[in-house]
Amino acid sequence: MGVILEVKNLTKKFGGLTAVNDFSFEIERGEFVGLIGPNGAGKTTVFNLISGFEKPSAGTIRFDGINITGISPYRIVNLGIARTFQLVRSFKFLTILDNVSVSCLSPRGKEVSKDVGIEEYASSILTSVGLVDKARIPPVVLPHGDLRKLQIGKAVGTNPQLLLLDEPFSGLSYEEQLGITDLIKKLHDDGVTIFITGHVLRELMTLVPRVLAMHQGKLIADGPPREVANHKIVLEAYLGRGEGFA
Amino acid sequence: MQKRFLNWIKEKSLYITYFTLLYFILLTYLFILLYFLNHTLFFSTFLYLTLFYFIFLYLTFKFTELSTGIKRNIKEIPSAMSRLKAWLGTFKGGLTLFCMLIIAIIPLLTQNDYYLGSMFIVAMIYTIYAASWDFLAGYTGQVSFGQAAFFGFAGYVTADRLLLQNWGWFPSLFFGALMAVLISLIIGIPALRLKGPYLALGTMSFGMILYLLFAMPTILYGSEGLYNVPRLSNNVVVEYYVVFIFVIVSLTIMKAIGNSKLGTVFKSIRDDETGAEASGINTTKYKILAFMISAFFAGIAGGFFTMRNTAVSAQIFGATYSFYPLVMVAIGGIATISGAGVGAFFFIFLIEILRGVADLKWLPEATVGFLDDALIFSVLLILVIRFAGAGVLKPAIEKLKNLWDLLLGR
Repeated sequence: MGVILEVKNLTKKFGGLTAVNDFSFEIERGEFVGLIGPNGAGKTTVFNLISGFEKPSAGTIRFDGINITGISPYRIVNLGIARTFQLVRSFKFLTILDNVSVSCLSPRGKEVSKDVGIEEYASSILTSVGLVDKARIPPVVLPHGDLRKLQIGKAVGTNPQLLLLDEPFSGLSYEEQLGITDLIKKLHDDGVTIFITGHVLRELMTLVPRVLAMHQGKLIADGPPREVANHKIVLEAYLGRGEGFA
Repeated sequence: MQKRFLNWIKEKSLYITYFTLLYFILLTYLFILLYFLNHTLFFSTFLYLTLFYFIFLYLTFKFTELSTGIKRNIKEIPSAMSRLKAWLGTFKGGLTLFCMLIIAIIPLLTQNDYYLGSMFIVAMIYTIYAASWDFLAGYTGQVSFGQAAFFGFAGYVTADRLLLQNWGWFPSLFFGALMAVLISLIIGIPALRLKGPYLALGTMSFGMILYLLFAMPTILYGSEGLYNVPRLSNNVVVEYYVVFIFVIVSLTIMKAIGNSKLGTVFKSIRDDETGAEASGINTTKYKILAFMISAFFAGIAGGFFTMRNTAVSAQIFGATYSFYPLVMVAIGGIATISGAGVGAFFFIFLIEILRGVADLKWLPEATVGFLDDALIFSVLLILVIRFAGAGVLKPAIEKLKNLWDLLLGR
């Protein structure tokens, strides 16, 4: 199996604020890892650093043995790390199918789709995320839940080995959350390594076997959900300092 | 393997059929025309057409696996001819054909140098120019205020080749357009790091730099520029048809690129650049590519413009020429390509008509200069932005279609 993502002493400073502070962890190939932390803990910044949208102030990120620290986002995608965004992004004036096709037109996407043809490959992705009957409409008319699915579809189009999902459940109803959960599980079963952040702890904690907890830019706990949830510092980070919490 | 190959051919066949048909129709047309006018331009125009035909085919093979422009079911691929027929059967296709026919028969109605030359040919040249801007801004979302840099530079190069090197019109034009592509690379690589209004300002400043350079008295042909540039042909009808063919070919290429996979990537950059990067697209590369394609067609327009005016000076790099395509595209509707044609014709005709008004002498003499282009296009732009934000083409087509349906009693 081996390590797929290795982050060492990652630090990001915005002026006087240290958003990510000496953050180190490893993810094995095929793992399913969650990243939790209260608002402003630095989860999204960690994702931005890994996916290249921000340049780290210090530290290294290695993917599959290759140093990817500070290289441009599209190169990182083409090495096999895809991500989704906390706020949904879509190509407003393209159809849903074309939204996914763009990902399939990236070098990695082309490689897997060259046998079946890009349109067919993109529509097969739409089938798997459950949007195939909406292939010809633009994303502006989609409900929020479908936009979240489209996000995942766009990421999957680049044929990722590691998928970074930034808050895939935010703003969704319970049923919609279940749909996304099934989708993510299916992707994981297909062999994609998944790294996921979330606020909705109950959902996340039942989904992942391993959780990293961060607070004020620092890693404070790493382990199975049950252990991390009862970790003293984690409880303090979420609920504040006090006595009497189990 | 064989099945895949057959599918592939099937997939491409619409484009191949379409381009081949277009090629032969234009060729036959040109041949009949030039034969009767007994003209020597036939060979070079034939060469140009052939060249573009092969460029078409190349683009088809390279980029059109995903023909998103043509609405069709994902599962089944209808045959090329039926798709072409279906397109011509639609109101839009029919209207396009009708407009093309109207423009094609204009010289049979009048051979007046003023109407054909100063109005129709100039409007057609501006159609290519405005469409090139629309390609960049409408498809890729990169708003350039320095399109005149390509237009003017190609104009200068074409004039230089024609006048000082005694090249033919076709190689001069083509060379001019290629030099415009080169300039677009030089401008684009630094400028495309800028975004939004900064890109607009950056490209504008490059236009100004070229203006200042070419306005210098001693270098680069001096401040008076080049004059006595030979016309494309002394026969205005021949010139008309050559430009007409170039308009059709250029617009079809731009439209085809827009509907191809490459176009999908361009549009994704327009809609969300960060998102496109997250999808693994090298946005810088594609933006520069769009810049180059746009510069090529702006260059073609610039070359024709110089030949039409028989002179070129540093004025061609001025802000006016950078804003013309913007106004025309605003009138016609952005990201439509053909809207650029509507805008260009509307605008040029309006200017010519209002010039006539200014000649009536009922206006004070001081206003004549103002009634020139600047005032017209400012007022026009304000009106368009206020009343037709999406341009006039799309709403007009819808209205016309409703009328048509009404007439046919549907």
